[in-house]
Amino acid sequence: MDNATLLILAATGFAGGTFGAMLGLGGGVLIVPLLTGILGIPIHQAIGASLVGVVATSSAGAGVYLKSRLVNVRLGLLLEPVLALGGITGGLIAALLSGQVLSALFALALIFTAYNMYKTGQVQDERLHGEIDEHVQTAHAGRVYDALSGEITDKATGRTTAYRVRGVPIGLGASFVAGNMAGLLGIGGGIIKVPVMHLLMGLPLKASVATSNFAMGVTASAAAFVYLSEGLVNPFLVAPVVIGVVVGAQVGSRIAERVQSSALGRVFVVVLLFMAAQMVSKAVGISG
Amino acid sequence: MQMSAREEGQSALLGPSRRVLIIGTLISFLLMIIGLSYAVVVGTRDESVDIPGLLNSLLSLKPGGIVGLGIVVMLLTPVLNVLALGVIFARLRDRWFTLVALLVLVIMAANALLSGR
Repeated sequence: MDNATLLILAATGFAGGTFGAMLGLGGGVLIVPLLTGILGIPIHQAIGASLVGVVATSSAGAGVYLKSRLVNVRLGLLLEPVLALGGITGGLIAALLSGQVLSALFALALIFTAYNMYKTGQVQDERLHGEIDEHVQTAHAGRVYDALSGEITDKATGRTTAYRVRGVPIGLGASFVAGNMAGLLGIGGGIIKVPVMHLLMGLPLKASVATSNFAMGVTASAAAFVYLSEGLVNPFLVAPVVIGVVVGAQVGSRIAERVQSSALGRVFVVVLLFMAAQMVSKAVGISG
Repeated sequence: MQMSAREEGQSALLGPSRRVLIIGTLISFLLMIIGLSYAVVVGTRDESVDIPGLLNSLLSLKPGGIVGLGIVVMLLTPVLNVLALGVIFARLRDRWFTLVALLVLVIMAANALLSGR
């Protein structure tokens, strides 16, 4: 591996870290296609590198989001056991699948998410999240839901929004799927967690992105240990990517704080569709 | 404007969590930069990809071992964050979230032990 390759890997990590922190994705959706498509790295190794990058994005991005008080720490922690179990399971399954199957799964996940986020963008934030929904609480779930309630101040609009978390069982189920996708495809699972938190659990979009980013560190770490034990984590491939990701995550987190939620959603859709096309071409053997 | 009890509880969590994540990321980042710089200077890249290989490289102070240690620190950072949150929840006498933190730690420890076999 020469010095030019190290620089290209760092640039890939920077791009992934910036977009990942902005969108709560962890950067994997960019890193994996770029590593496999441009540099010809086997997809299992690319996923291993991406997972370490996802951990880096989460940790570096969460530092910024925690300072801005966008993270719902209790909700993030509550989802982590299920996310970690999903991540471990996904990592073990990935070791059994071929590169083409993984590429096809990657493309499907991206198309599904792009569609969901396109629909999300058509719903006004104010209508969904401007007021606390008092009708979903039950006597048993009330205690837990109250502990999960929160409020955020959107720097872009200056508006403070109080919210109450609902749909915790759905969130836990989706978290297992998200964790599974993380371990299987090297992505942070934000493509599942962000829409579920936003649409089904009642969090504002920016709180969803920040909380997803916070929780995905444990998910990716659990899955990365599986890849490490399988000999799929090459230090000289991973390190430049991670360094780029850490720097990019700082840039992306700061941009995300100042961008309107609707603009964030539009960027989300375009990036996902572009990467889906790339992975389809790999799955059917047109490229790589 | 007065903070609610919920907001005060949230505040107690944010600072320590943020410090753990930033310090862990910085240490990992520094180890990887040192290892990569060392590799560029000496021109050798011991590309061990398994855990025993990385450990041998580290004990021999080879570049790959230093980079590998940085990667392991990065992977442990979110786990240490959960540990820190568990301690804070225990101090706040929040048994429910202390147990959740403990559950995460047990899962991660079991995974690391089984992966290392």
